[in-house]
Amino acid sequence: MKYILLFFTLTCSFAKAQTIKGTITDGENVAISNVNVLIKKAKNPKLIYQFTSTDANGFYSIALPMYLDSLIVEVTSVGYASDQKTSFNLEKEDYPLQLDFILQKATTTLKEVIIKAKEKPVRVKNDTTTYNPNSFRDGTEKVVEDLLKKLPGVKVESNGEITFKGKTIKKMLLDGDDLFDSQYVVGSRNIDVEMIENVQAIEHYNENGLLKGISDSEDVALNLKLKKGKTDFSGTVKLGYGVVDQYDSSVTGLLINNKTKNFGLISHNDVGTNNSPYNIQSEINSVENISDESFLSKAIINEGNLNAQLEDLQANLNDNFYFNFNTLNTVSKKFTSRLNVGYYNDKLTRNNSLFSEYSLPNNSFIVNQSEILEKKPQIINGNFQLLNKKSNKSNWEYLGKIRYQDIDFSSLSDNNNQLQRNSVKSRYFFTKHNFNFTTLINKNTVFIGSALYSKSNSPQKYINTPGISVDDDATLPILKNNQTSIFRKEFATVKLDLLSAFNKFKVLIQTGYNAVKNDYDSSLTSLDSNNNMFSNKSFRNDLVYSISYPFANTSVVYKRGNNSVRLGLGSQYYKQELKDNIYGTLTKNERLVVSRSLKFLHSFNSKSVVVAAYDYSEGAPNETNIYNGFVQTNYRSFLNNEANLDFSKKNNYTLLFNYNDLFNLKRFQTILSFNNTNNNYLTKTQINPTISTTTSFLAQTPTKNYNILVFGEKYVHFIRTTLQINTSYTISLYNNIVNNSDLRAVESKNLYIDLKLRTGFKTHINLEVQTMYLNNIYKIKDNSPSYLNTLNQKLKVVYNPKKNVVATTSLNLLSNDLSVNNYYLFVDTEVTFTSKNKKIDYAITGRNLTNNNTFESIAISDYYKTTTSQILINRFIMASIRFKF
Amino acid sequence: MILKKVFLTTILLCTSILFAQEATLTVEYKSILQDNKDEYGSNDFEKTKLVTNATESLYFETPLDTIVSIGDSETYSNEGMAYSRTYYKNLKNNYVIYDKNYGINSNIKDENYTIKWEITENTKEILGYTCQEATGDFRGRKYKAYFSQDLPFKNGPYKFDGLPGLILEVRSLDNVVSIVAEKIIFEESHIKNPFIDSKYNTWDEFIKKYKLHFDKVSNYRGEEGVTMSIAKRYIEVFIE
Repeated sequence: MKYILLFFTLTCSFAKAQTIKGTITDGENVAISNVNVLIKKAKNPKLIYQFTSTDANGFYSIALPMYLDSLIVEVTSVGYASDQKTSFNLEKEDYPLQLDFILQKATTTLKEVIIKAKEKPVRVKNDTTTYNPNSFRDGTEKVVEDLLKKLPGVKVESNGEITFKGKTIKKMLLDGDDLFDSQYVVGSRNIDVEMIENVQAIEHYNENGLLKGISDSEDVALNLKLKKGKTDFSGTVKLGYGVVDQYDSSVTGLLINNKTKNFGLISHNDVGTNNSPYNIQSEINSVENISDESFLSKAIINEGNLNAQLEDLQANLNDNFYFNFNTLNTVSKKFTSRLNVGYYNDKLTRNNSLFSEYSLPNNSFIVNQSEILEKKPQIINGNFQLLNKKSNKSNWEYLGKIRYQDIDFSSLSDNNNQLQRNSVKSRYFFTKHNFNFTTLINKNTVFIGSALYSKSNSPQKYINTPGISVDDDATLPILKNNQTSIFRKEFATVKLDLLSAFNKFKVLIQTGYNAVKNDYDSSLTSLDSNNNMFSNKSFRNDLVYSISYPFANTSVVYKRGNNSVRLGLGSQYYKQELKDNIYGTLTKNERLVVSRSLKFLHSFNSKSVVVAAYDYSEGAPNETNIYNGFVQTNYRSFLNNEANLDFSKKNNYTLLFNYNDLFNLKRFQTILSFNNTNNNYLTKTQINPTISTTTSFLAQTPTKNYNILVFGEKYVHFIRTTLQINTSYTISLYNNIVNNSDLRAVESKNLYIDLKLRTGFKTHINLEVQTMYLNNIYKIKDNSPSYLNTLNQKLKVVYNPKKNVVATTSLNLLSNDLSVNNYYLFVDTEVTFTSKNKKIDYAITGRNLTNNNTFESIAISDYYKTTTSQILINRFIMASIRFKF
Repeated sequence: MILKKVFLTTILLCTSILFAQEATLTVEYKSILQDNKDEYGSNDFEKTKLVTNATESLYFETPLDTIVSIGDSETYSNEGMAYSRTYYKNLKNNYVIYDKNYGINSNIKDENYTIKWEITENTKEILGYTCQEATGDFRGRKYKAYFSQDLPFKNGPYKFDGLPGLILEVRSLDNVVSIVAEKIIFEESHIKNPFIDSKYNTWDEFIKKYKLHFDKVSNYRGEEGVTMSIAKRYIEVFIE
């Protein structure tokens, strides 16, 4: 590069602003605009001191902030050769100093340096949604579950089960580690919300890191990121006392460092709360059991009806003690271990009365029942995992589980003026052992081998005094019925999976062998008033039912642009064997089952997606469908089956449209689904004022369900209010037999409308208004339909006078049958005060302030209407204090 | 004859001007915005690309498809987002028009984003170029920028420009924004304004609409009393 240097020796001129100006032109005398004019100090010619640039006329002017004796003026511009002039002895110049330049056009030769910045290692793509809890909190949250309920897309069911975008979560991780496994409810119901920095929902979650990017997992997991500084040791202590004699207390502790993660909990309460992952208070499955459902042996003797339409806090009369400890340890570089132990003890009481009106073709009658019951469950469990990460390419794990559960149930029942004592003792045992080995064959292909063995027993003993008989001709009264029922189940499976991802495909090939052995023994012996013990063959079962099948499944996912298609094909060759030791029969059956599924997904844009799915599957009868002998399941009910080894065949069709524009506060979802079971288990019921018997049988008549679900939400600015609508409409077509009728075609229609309105005023008071309407219709040809309409209206007022004070009052107005004039009003309130350092919460809670002693709920079907009345937790006011450390 | 000479000169002149103007440069940056001071900040982890000549430039933002670890335990992820935002800048007429609209469905034309830079004597080596430091305020944050005299484009990433050399690094003093060049590519590219005839909000209109939207969101109530908020601050602070 060529530089032109000019020297100026000029006379001194002071007290003038040192301004330099000039014009820059090209060789043709054309002004050049936007030329960089750089002023540099002569002693420091590499650094720019001041700068300006030329205007459209090629003119520049710059006033220097500090007086300089000498300077360099350099001009640079893209497309021209740079130029510079150095001036010394500036004191001799006249100001403004005129420095013009003529630039030569040139291909700008940029100083090229080829160095590529080193990329920082980045971890692979992930499907994670991160929530910052502060954005979702209103101050009423205490534990993680309270927060999760508020996150868009997350739902928490009454048993503690968490779903994200409609899918049950597989895991709830703590800082990326799976401390709780299937007992995550312990974490979500007990970890203090203050410990959480943010919550991440991970879609396409792979528990096994080696499968990342290869497996097309549809699993979802939540990750709780703990706040920094919350590591080491922290916890909470809660003490609550209510008038009269209500207790609610708990202690939790969390110990975390880079070697170990531990969470422990001890809690006791009698205010209806359940901090455990077990759900004994209702028929809903415990979260702990969801993934083990197919391994657990069944139990069919009733241990008390504790179902409630109301929430646990109002209806669950309990006395619950729960201890739980979870520890995750890094044993060595390669090994990590996890142990979860728990002890649960409860005493559930209930006082039910049922009034049922049966309207049958040939007769109508009324059944009056009442039951005072007490249920004492006790559970001891231990889960263990050992994980070995041999290398980046392979790992293995062992998972073991053992659980013992006993339930003592006793009640005094009144069945149409027949008083009976009932006692059921159940002793459940379950153990499961699982070994998985994973190895990467290459970057895109992974192999998994797994073996599983489980064993489960569920013996139940039921004593019913005085007993009842199915046989109307029984001449002598029965003093006592003694019903035993023992299901035993053993399950073994070996499975090899090969997963591969290439181009736009993800492929899974799976082969394996399953073997299931079910034993069932039951007997009913009766003692009559002559002290004769007797038993009848048709009230006994002694069966061995085994199913074994090799299987080969494959699924292919193809993704391209906004579309993805998933195709699944499965084949199983079933061998069934049913051995009946009472009748000395052996039934065998073999069958090749081919299942198939197809799913198509198209996203129109980032906000709208449509999914269409179809699947066909066949199911072998399970162990509760194959016993013929009657089993007495409560003080007035008997169950049996017409055993049949045939398979039921199901077709499911789903069409989903989802629009989610959270930014513009609009959400809409609609799901259409249809399922058709070609042949299904139907029931044949014999019912009279004192007993009912139900027989299940596989019939060659289809059962159909149509369902439409619509959800919409929109924020309306001028009223500062969010509106939400949730509706569903279901039509079910099925058949049944009641009291020797022919096969009756039943049509049931179910409409649910839920409207919500939530204000977001910038005042201290905000409201939430909800209206739920439910309409049930059951219709049988040539009969008048039966209806039930219920309405539930809720109003919640949140008063937030200061940042650390929240007062909530909820009013709940329920009408369980709009055809009668019967309303319930529930009022609950809670005031929470948090200390400035957030270490202590004080709360005053008032429940059931209108002091409703009983609550009636109504259920209808195609042939009965039952009103259930239950006793509620009395009004109480509780003061509680919670420390955090 | 004279006419011919004039004609020839014109052609020569034009071609050389064209040639001069088409001297283009492409710079790839990693652009990180990480404002977690409170719930009103925002995070962006992007790979960006500036294609510039002396008078015009295009700037593209695409997500880094990754989880980024922040500090000890926090992570942020782009959850499989796929977007590409384009900024067209006219250095002659001093405006930038772009399609990143922050949910307000219209392009934005910003005509008053000039930064008053103060040059310091600090230097720093970036990708082999000696860069000089300049400091300046830009819409709510204070910045340090590093530019190279050896690349005499008065441009830089995003709306950072106006220094006598290409900006290869910008950092906000609050450690929220960092845009750092990772690669410089010397190649000819054609720059064309993709927003000709497109509708736009001016900066002031945009800020007004964004404020209204912020208000709406803060009044929204989700299930179980969920409240939401949208950011007040990106690289630029929209709402004080």
